[in-house]
Amino acid sequence: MKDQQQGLMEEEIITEELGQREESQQTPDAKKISKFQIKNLLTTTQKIALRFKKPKIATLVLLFIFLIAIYSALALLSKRNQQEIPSVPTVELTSPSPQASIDSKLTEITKKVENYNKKLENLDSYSSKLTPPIVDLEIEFK
Amino acid sequence: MPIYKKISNFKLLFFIVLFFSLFTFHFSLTLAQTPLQKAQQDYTFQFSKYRDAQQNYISSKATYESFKTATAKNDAFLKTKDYLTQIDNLYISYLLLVKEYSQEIDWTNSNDQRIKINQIFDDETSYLGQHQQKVKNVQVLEELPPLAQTLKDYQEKIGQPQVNKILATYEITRTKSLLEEFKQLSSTLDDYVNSKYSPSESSVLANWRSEIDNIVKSTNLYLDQANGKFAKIQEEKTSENDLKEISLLTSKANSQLQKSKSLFEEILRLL
Repeated sequence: MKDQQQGLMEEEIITEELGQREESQQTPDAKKISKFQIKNLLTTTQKIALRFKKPKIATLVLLFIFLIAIYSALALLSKRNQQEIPSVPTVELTSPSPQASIDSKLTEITKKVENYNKKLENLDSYSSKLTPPIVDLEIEFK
Repeated sequence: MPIYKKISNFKLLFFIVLFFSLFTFHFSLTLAQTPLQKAQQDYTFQFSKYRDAQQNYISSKATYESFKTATAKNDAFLKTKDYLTQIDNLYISYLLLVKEYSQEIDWTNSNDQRIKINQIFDDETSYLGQHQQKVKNVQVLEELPPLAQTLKDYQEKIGQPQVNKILATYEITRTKSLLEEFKQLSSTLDDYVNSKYSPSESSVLANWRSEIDNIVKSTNLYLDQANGKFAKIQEEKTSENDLKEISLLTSKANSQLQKSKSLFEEILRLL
């Protein structure tokens, strides 16, 4: 039995290693493509910028391209971050026993108490929070 | 000559500034402020502008008083006008900040008070707007000191006492709503305890109930005193001393309510 189990484990390890190798073989190609694309983009932008003979216009065009690139990159990043936020799975526990319904009532009460306690923590007087501005209105000219 | 060498230092600086402005713009969109934070920020901004206008007014006044030239007088006129306009702006931003704090109070059982308060806000803001318009229409320096005096008298006799009344209303309404919430919560807890245990089961519960009653009684005592004081000054202007007295009474009532925190936690632990 032990030998059989060991055999199975070995197989699993081998398949995992093979998978990793395949992935590592694929990644350099992808990197090459992305590098190639970036190089292409850079050369095209350089060409576009160099079409203008005046350096001022060339710099302005370059600035504009950079701005669009940075803005779109930031927008993409923010979108990705939003997508990556894991949604909390809501697990609904349904049980036929009456004890569960009482407990749900207790959790509801506990929440209410927590909210109420939060309100009690922030009870600074409004007169101290909202002191009026001291303004000098003694305006006179000799 | 490579293109990067053609870019001067000024352009590089321009590029950096643009980059940072884009960056900050992006983050300002993602990190939105609450209305209260906005009102606080606006008040701080108006206050710093007021300080700047005051400095300009003081220096232009000194120049005019020492040289007495027409140019110096015109400069003093412009700076004083700006100073008075800024004072109006500061008062308006203060009123908006006070108004924004009303959003954190539960007005369910005090709707009449809320209507009265909103009326005060409207009156005060419209007075300051009108005063600002008068300052704008002034053409000579001699007309500005009387306008400053008018605003000063108004603030001392009407403006600030009205704000004091608003703040006193806030204090009382907040404590009232907290007491109501406390009563509701304690009765809900009491019902839950009754459904779970028989009345004679524990003396701890009996003592818990009596503690709850004590809190309600002592809070009501301070709240009634504050209400009595407020009722006396309802039609008059609320002075700073009146406000202090009401604040003290409501803070005493609030400290009684704060005892409930440990009591609720204790009963929840027992359940």
